[in-house]
Amino acid sequence: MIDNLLIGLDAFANPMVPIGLVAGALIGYLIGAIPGLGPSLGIALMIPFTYGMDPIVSIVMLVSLFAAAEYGGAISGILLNSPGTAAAVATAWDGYPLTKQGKTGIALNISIISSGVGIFASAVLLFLTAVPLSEYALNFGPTAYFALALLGLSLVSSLSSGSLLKGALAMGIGLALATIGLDTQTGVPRFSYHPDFFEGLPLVPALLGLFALSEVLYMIEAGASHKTKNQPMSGILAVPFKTFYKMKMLFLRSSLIGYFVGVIPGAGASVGSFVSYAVAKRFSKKPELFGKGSYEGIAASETANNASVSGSLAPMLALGIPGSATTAIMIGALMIHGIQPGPLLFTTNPQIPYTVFVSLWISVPIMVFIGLAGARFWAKVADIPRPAIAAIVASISLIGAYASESSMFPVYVTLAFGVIGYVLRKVNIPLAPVILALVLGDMLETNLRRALSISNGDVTTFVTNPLSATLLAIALLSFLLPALGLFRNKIKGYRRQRPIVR
Amino acid sequence: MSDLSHDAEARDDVVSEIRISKKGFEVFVYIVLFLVNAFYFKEALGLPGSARGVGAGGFPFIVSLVIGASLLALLVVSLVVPRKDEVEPFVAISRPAQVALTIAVMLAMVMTLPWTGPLVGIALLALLVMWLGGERRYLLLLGLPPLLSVGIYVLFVLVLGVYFD
Repeated sequence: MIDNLLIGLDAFANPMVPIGLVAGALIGYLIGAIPGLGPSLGIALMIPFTYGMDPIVSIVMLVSLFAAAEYGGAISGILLNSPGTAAAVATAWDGYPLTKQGKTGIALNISIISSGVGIFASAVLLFLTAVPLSEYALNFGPTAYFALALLGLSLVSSLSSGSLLKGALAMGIGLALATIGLDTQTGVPRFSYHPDFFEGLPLVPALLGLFALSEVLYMIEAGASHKTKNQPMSGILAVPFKTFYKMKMLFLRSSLIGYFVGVIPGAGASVGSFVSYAVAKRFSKKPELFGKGSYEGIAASETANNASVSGSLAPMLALGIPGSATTAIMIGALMIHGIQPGPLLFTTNPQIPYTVFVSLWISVPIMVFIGLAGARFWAKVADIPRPAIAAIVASISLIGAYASESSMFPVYVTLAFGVIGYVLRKVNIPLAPVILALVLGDMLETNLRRALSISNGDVTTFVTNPLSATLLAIALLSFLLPALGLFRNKIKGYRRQRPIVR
Repeated sequence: MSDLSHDAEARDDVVSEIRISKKGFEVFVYIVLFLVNAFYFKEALGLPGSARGVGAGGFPFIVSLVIGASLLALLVVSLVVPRKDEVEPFVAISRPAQVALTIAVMLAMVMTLPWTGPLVGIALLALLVMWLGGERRYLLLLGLPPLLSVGIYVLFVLVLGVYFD
C-alpha cells in the first residue's frame, strides 16, 4: 500500500498535477463562495476543460475543486447568512452571529482550519477503508453488483428528496434515459430515432443542461443582485493554537461522522454537517452558545462537511458506485478519459486512486493558505452580479457541450436538458437520482442480464446469494421505512383530529 | 438615461411573477411524463426479448413499469389525497417573459452558431442573457461579453484545441 502511495506522490513530479490542484482549489473557492452554485455545478462546468487533459491532472483538479467548493460554501454563510452550499447551512448558524459581533475574521479562520482538518483526517480514513473495500469487491459477481447499484440508487432516491415517489420517479427517468442507444449486448438500437443517439445519450451535455442551464434559468428568475455590505476582517490570523487544540476531540468525532455519513449514498455533506453539529452541541461544555456564535458549532459543521467529501469518494473509487450527484458527475468525467472507477481501478490504474489520496493531503495546506490569504477576495465574490454569472455559466455550458464532440448535437441535448431540469426542479423532482441512474443504468442492466443469463432466467438467484439478498433488503427498506414512518404520522394526525367520543 | 458607472445599483425594469396552482402544474407534468412513458413502454415491448433472462427490451420494460407506478401513485396523491398542511400551494415563476426569452435566445444562439462563429455567438449570448437577467449597467453589458468571448475562445480553441468548423 505504501508503495502505491509513492506512485501517487510520484504523479506530482508532473508540474501539471500541482498546477491542476491549485487551479481546482481556486475555482472551487470561487464557485463555493457564490450562493446558488455548488460543487456539482462547478464540476459539471469544468468537465469540458478537462477533455484534452491528462486523466490524472483532470481528476486531481476536480477533486480539489470538490473539496474547495465545500470550503468556500462557508464564506457567504458566515458573511451574509447565505450559505454557498447546503452543507454550510449549519456553519452559518454560528458564523453569521459571529459576523454580527464583529468577529468575521475569527469565524472564517475557524471554518478554514476546521475544513482542512476534516479533509486531512478523512483522507486517512479513505485510504484505510477504500483499498480493503476494493479488494473485497473484486469477489463480487453480477448479482452482488446489480444489488449494490440498486442499493446506491435506492438510497439516493429515498434520501435526496422530500418525497419517496418523486425520488423513485427521478430514478426511473434516469434509467430510461440510460437505455437510449445501441444495446451493448445485442447491438439492437433502442429508442434511437437518429444516428446521433446510437452511442447513447451524451452524458456530459446532459449533466451541463440539468445542473448548469437549469440554474441559469433560476438566476434569470431571481433578477439582478444587489451589492452587499463589506465586513471587516480583523482577527483572521489571530486565533490562538490552543483554541484548536481544545477542540481536538470534536475534530476527531466530526471527521468520523462526516466521513461515514459521506460514504452512505444520498446522505452527503449537508446531513454530515447537521449530525456533527448536533453531536458537538450534545458534548459541548457550552451548548447555550450554539446558534449564537459558537466556535465549536462552526468547527463541527465545517470539519464534517469536508470529511464527507472523502467519504463520498470511497464508494466511487472502490466500488464504482457514486454516492452523490457530484461523484456521479465525476464518474462521467473519468469515463470521458476511458477510465471506469471500481475495484479494478486499483489494479489497472493504481495511480488514479492513490493520486487522489495524496492530492487530498497535499491540498490541505494549499487550500488553507488560499482561504486565509484570499479571505477578503472570497468575501467579495458574492458581489459578482448574478446576471454576469448567468451569462458565464450559459456560455461555458453551451460551448463546453459543443467541445465534447465538436458537433452541434450535444449542444441541443444541453439546451433540452436545461429546460427539462428547470421543469423538474419546479415540481420538486430531485435531479441527483436522475444523474445517478443515468450513470449507473448501464451497469445495473448489464449485471441484471448477466446474472439472469447465468441462472437461466431464475430470478431467485438474487435472493439465494447472501450478499445480494442483504443489499436488496437494505434497498427495499430504504423505501419502506420512510414510507411506513409517513403512514404512521398520517394515522397519528388523523387520530389527533378525530373528536373523542365517549 | 442609464447610469454608466460600474458601481451604480443594478436595476430591473420589469419584475413580474406568475403563480400556477401547484396541484395543477404537477398534474400537468405527470400527465406529460405519463404519455412519454406510455410511448416508451410501447417501444420497449417491440424490442427483442431473450429465451434466457432479460433481452434488449426487458430492462426498459421494467423501467417503464417503475415510472408508470410512480406516476400513478403521484397522480393519486395529487388528485385524491387532500392537502391540509400545504404551505406553498402555488408554483411561482418570477419574470416569466425573461425566462422564456432566455430559452429562445439560447436556442437562437445554438442554431446560428455555425454562421456567427464562437466569438460573436458567445458575446451576443452573454450580452442578451445579462440583459434578460436584469443587468442595466452599460459598462458591464458592453465589457463582459467580449472579454468572456475572447476568454472562452482562447481556452477552448487555442489551449484545448477545439475547433468550430
